Amino acid sequence: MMNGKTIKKSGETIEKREKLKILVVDDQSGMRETLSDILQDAGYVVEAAVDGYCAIKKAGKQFFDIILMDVIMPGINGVEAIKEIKKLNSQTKFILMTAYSAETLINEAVKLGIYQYINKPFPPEQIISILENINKNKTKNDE
Amino acid sequence: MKKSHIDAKDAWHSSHLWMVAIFIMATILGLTIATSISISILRPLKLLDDSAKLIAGGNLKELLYIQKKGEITSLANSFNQMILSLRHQIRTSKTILEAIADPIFTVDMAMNLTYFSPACEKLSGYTSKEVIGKKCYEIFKSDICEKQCAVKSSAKNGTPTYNVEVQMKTKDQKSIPIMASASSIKDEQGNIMGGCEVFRNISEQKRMLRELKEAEEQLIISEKMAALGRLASCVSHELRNPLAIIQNSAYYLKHKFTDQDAKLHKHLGIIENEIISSNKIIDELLGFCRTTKSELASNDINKVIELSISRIQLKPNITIEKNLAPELPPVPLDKEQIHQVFVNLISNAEYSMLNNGGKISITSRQNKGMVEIEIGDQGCGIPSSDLKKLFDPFFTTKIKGIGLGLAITKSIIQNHHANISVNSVVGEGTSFFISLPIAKEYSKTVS
Ligand SMILES: Nc1ncnc2c1ncn2[C@@H]1O[C@H](COP(=O)(O)OP(=O)(O)OP(=O)(O)O)[C@@H](O)[C@H]1O
Ligand SMILES: [Mg+2]
Repeated sequence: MMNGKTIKKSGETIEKREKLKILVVDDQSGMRETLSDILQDAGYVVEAAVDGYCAIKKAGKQFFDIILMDVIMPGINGVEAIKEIKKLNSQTKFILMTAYSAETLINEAVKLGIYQYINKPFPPEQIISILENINKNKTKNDE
Repeated sequence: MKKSHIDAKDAWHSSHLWMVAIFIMATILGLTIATSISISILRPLKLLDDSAKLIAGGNLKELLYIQKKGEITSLANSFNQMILSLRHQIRTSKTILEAIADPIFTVDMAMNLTYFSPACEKLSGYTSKEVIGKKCYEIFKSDICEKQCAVKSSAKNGTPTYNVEVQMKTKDQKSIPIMASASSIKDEQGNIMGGCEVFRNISEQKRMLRELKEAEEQLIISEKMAALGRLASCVSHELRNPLAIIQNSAYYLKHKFTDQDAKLHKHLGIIENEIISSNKIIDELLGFCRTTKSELASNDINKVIELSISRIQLKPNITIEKNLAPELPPVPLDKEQIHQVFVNLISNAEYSMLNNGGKISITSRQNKGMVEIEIGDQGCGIPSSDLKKLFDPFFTTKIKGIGLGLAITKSIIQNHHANISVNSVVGEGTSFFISLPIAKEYSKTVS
């Protein structure tokens, strides 16, 4: 019956929806590697970028639900990168990560509209729970 | 012939009489001349002689008065002229001596005081009358009187001594620092008659020098603190990245190893805990760096004290006693920072009584234009050798201490234009005193 197909289809969509696409942007490879592994294990699709330019390039090629963005990086800073990516896609949510008290930059980012900012080091549980929240809201909105 | 004989006899007789008369006359004349010489020459000479003796003895009070005119009178006038000129000279040297602002005294070879200038009187508190004739070392009792007296050595070998720093005693036994120079006094033949010392009270210079040194030290400390602050800030931030990465790795491993290897999980736990304490150190360091700016707003200090007490968890053997003055005028303060100060002081007080327990007393009171806070404990106390270093960054006697608590406290207190001091007795306890200036609009009506 048609039902079977629909179920399969909707099953596919749910599957797709749950597997949020995440981009981790950080100049430190240790951060990229550990976050990628943790988030992949938690069931997300994860890509990584080494700096702002690389992030803009990747975001131009594909859609990311969430971008975890470091603030202080060589080249352009995280906030500049967010500005550019926002021009490409208004749906992406940004989580800013910072090890520095870069208040002016953070304020600027908050004005631009970011989902949240967290201070490094953060317990990985914190990131997981933020992502879960986003996921829940997204599922709710889509239904 | 006979007549002529008689004549001759008469003639002899009469000539004899003449001679007698002349002799008498001469005697009378001689006497008269002698008397008159005695009156007009010898007596004035005697007067001159007396006067010369008086002058030699130092008495210049009397002038000579001779009525008759003549050679002697002119001599006497010259004599008087000399007395007047001597008087003038002496008056001039005395005026000069007395006009010299620095104290001067002279001694003879036996170190007996022979002159004691008014400036000397003023500084020492002794009058000239009291000390003339007494030994100078019995009066000044300076610290080098016995060993290397400047006047004595100058008087001995005739060479001046310059700028010796000495402590002398005033009449009321106050010790004051002086800078002294000494030289010998010689007579015309070059024989040394005694010594002379000029000195100057250098308390003020010493105080200024001390203040300058303190200010310099303070400047060095604050420069050090600023440099340290920048370094600490830099290092702390840089450390946060690797710590975050280690934390991530530990998390990943913990979730990957699902088998129940207890030791493995224990070690992952250790890594996580140590990351937490490293983060605390970083937070404290950064807190220290952030104390450079304070945002002051009028606040009730008692409320901040209450808040700090409520936020601190003390060990059960420690109690807090509050003596807070009601209705204190508001104080301009940065609430979070002053809270931090109280937390630092209270936790130090707690630590000092960790073994035996005890009471922390917190007192607030108004004193003139200031609000004073006292935080006292009954703990181990601080040895005086540590008191100087107490507020230095990284000074600690605790195994797990960083030594930033009081450095941060001091820096915050300085930002508040306030003061912090400490009073401690080893084995009895310690009190920290903070005095904060009252808000301007209130201090006018208050003080
Ligand atoms: N109330 C007190 N009684 C006795 N000793 C004290 C007291 N307060 C401070 N000290 C001494 O001063 C030192 C420095 O104190 P400070 O608060 O700056 O650093 P700390 O307490 O050692 O470390 P932390 O950085 O964790 O505060 C202490 O280690 C201790 O020896
Ligand atoms: Mg301390």
